[in-house]
Amino acid sequence: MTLIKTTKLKKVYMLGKIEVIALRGISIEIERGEFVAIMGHSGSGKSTLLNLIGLLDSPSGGSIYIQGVDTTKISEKQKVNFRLHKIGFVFQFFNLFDQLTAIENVMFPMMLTGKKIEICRKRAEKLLERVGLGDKINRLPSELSGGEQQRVAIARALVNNPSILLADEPTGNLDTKNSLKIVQLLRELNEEKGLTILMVTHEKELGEMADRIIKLKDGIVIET
Amino acid sequence: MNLRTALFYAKKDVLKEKRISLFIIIAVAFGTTNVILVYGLVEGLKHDLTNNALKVSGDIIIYPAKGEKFIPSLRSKEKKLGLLSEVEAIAPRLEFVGVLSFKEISKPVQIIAIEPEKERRTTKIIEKIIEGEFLYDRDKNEIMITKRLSEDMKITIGDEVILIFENGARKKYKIKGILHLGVPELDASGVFINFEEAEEIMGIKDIASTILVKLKNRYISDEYKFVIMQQLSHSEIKSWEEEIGWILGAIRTMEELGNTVAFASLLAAVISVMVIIYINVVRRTRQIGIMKAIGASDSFVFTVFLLEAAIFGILGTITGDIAGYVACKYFETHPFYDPIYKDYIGTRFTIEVLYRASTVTLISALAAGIVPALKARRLEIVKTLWSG
Repeated sequence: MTLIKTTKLKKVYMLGKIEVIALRGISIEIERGEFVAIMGHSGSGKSTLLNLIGLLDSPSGGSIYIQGVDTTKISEKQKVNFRLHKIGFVFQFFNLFDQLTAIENVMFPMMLTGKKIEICRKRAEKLLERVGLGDKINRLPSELSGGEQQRVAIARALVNNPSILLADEPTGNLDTKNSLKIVQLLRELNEEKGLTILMVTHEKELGEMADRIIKLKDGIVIET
Repeated sequence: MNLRTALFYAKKDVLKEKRISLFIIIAVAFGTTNVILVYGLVEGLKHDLTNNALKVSGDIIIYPAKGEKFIPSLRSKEKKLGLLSEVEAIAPRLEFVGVLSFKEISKPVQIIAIEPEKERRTTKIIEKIIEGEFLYDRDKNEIMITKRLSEDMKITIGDEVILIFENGARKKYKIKGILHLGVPELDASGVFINFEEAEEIMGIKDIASTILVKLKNRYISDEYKFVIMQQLSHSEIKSWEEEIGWILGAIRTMEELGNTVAFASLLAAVISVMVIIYINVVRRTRQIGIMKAIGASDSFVFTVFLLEAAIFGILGTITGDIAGYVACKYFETHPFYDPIYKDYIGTRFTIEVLYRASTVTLISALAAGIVPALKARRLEIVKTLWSG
């Protein structure tokens, strides 16, 4: 069953007066429960594609369907709701809130939904336990290693039980050992929960851990 | 939009940079304290001037007709006033200019002739005696002077002085009492003598410069003056509210000055709050983007930064309120000395002062948060993720 579908997706940026074409009409389909790696050289449009699917940016043309909804036609409020409930994000630079502890970072997106603090706390504890940080829930990000921070970020991305996890170079700031552990964790989550994962990476070894690789070059799909 | 979560995040943000937060709270508190002190000072002046003016005057004051120096037929007017049901007491006064001499020093003075017993019943001027005694009707050779005159001319109780009247008559008097009236124009040069004594020396009879009327209910003065106008067929009559109009006018000017000072000190606090929150927004640009990416709405982000300003505002206002209260109470008991009026000016703490200062500071702090909060709200997710 198709969960994500893009048709003739285009993105053009203006850098001053210069027009930069990031995506030149991308049409892909991602099935529910698939773990897909998006690969390509720098500037190929990988992150742009992920940002558009994650509703962080608007396309210049084409459509993006998530669970059958054309997200290019929905309101800003609906986009916020999509990001909050249906999509989880993991970024390259971990991007945790440095003033919040590990558990508070994980709780935060769930608190945004208006759920009771105690419910959020229990769910966050469970997720941190799952990613192997049950003993470090009250640590600040500055007191955690890079790999641990990325695990907290993964727990945060999962707290609202999304159907899609988007990971933009999640291992970009980690050493090989930690990179493998993180992608292994994503693989496990994909298999355990049937989570659909789109992971941008430029490391072949990590990409091969996915079910499928979509290769981009100069804003077009060259292999899928 | 989830206010509880916004408050949770804002609180964490404020607590993260404790030193900077403390600095902002102190800046806001300083502004609030300043506002309380300035308003407290104006309030103190207003209270002192109004109360003092009311204590040495009547509820209704009758003046000479336009172009006249005196009110004629004083005794018949007193009789007519005595017939009115709301009139409790009447005290006529005569006023002249003169010169007071003691040893080598002479000073122009304002001579106010009073009937001491009537004055006791009509005004509270007796409460203004700070040394010696108030005059009695029988006291022909004794006078009272103001504290400022006694200090300027180094006159004490029991000293003998010479008073020269505007008709050239001069007479030796003994100082019986020293008054501190709290009304600058009277305190500067007031000399009080017996009414009959003044009549005798000036060769006048049955006239007055003013007639002070005490009513059973002060608050009907504005309406009751018309009854008196009718009774006396005389129109130069003022209620106490009209009488202190000049004071209220002067206070309004002081209030405007106070507002300017308060505005300047608050501006410093507001700018501190605005700059710090703005820097926070710029520094946290990427975090704001992440917040939006994981599902926070623009209005949530706006609320977070507005709440930060509110936290600074509330904590600063509470601290400033406490400091302002303590300072106000201190200056109530340790008033400033004003070398021009040669008098003490104390502050007066009222709930209204606290309410005004707190409201102004809180609104200002919130206003200071609006610009950075709007900037945070408008940040585009992708651009913030690209930022370093």
